[in-house]
Amino acid sequence: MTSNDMALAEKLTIRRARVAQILGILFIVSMATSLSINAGDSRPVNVQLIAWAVWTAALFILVIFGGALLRGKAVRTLMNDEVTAENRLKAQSVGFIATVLSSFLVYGVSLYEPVSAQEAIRLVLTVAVGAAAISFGTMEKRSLAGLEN
Amino acid sequence: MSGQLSNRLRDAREELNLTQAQLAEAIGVSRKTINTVENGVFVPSTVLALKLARALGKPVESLFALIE
Repeated sequence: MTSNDMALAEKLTIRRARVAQILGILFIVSMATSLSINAGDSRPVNVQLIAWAVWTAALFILVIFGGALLRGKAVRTLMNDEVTAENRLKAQSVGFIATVLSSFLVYGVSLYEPVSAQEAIRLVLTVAVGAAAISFGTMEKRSLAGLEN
Repeated sequence: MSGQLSNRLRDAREELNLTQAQLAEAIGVSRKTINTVENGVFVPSTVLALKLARALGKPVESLFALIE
């Protein structure tokens, strides 16, 4: 483990915190504006749905594994130290709570309005993964606050 | 949890004129870890506490104490 590894890991950790927060917010906002689309409507819609699926998978991997999967072992270890591991676990708890609450919401809405399975799944997954990503980014930013220069 | 543990990590590190980066490198963790422990944001594992104590040449109980 060298000074270069440490500097790179720190730079990537700061970037990861920012990206997790921003992408999480954009993810939820973009879902809110495209809830009613369904696969098969048209080619652009299918592309949009594939992009959503890729985005979901990317944020999920970020929250579960901490990202930086293509980096060397030393950098990955530094980026996923005890503090980050704890932050990831807390973010996963937030994601679980968001899953339960959004499922209740969908169930409640379905009593009055027909909700397709696709819409329900997209809404629950988006809220769960988005909330976990935002939470992870926020906790990481808090952990990085006050670092000595 | 972190409210129940006080620590003297920053004082002990500064006594040795070590930066957060130097201490972090000595025990193979990120600066963020040292920073969060010093600020009481994060309660370290036993292994990490022992590594910190060894790197600073002090017994672990002189670095960390329960708040009674």
